Amino acid sequence: MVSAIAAMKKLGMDPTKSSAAVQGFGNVGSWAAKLLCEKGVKIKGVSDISGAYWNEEGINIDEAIAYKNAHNGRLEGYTGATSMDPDELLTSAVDVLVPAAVEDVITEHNAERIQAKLIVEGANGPTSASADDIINRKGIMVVPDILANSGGVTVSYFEWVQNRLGYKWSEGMVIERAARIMNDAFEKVYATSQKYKVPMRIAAYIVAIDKVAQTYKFRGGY
Amino acid sequence: MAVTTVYKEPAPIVDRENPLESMMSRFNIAAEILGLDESTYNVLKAPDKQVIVNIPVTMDNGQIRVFEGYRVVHNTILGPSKGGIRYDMHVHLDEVKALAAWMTWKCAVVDIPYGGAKGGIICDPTKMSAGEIERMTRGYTLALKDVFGPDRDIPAPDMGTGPREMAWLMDEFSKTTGATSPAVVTGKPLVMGGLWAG
Repeated sequence: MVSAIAAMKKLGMDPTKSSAAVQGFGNVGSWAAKLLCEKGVKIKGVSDISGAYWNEEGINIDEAIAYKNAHNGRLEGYTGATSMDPDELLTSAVDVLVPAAVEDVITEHNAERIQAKLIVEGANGPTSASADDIINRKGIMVVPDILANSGGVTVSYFEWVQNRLGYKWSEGMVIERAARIMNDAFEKVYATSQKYKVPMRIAAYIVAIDKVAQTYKFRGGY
Repeated sequence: MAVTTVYKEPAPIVDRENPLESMMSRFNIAAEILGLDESTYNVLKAPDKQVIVNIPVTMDNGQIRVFEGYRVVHNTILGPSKGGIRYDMHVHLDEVKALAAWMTWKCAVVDIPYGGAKGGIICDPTKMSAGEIERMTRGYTLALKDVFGPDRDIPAPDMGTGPREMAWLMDEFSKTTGATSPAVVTGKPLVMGGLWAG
């Protein structure tokens, strides 16, 4: 969620005065909620397969994760929030929306009603192509999946680097270095989106393809 | 903040009808803005390598079953290829190709020195014993020993696989090559130098 905080900064949002809703409370969603919460973001709504839960004052995420872990990985029966219609979670009055469950949850049917100023795609492909146009027209910033959930491959890379070195970094070093890589990637994609005046999703592809194409040019050989 | 949950390479749900084409349509918009010529498009459209292997496995009942496995290396221009291995009944070569391409873009966007790959075996691991899965994993690794390697192609967990399978893969590869090679695969158990995921 390094990219979420970086994006909030670009949008002039103060994390301690912002709220978020997180759809999906599995591995990605619960970690996203926890990390945003640590930065002072008020997590007003979360959902999982058992339903959606809302607390205007902010959900105690550590408590919710502990509850989930003690109840078969589900939030069903959690009393720290009130139940709400899961479909309404996506269009609720929050500043940041983190779809971290399944694909195609933001579509042309609900995109118009989204109130968040920032969408961070924890899941893969949560925004359908038909919703992209509406979201762009509304001026909502989307941190695309390819960027938002690339923390995993970054940490995989660190595993490989350490294996090759025959050395083990401290946990703090792994976290610090991963944050730097994610932050640099966000800045690059953001600058590209400004330069070409395109949404972040297209900008991410531009960054990736440009790097590959340029390397081909230098290496040549075909 | 250490967690023991294992990182699985997230992958987009791709259009089953035409997975690679739908992947490349996003590519096209970006390529147009960059003014990429058609030859570069053609190079990147097709994966570098597609390997199909048949893996005979002695099942617990004594019979031999043959599983079909794939490894697609989409591109290695930025470094050795990286991507998960999926054990699922819906594994399909076209989808593996699209997911391999997605890994190329994903590694490039975060600027880590990897290309993109993806692999899979058509199987239902929920209906197989640990021994059967182990023999299948070792068979797959042996069949792909010339594809995998710390400087060639580095697998990781994906749907239906985890640290257990990665440990078997590392073991089989190390025995085959005669050199302990922890860096041939990521997502290994923590005790084997596996990662912190977060």
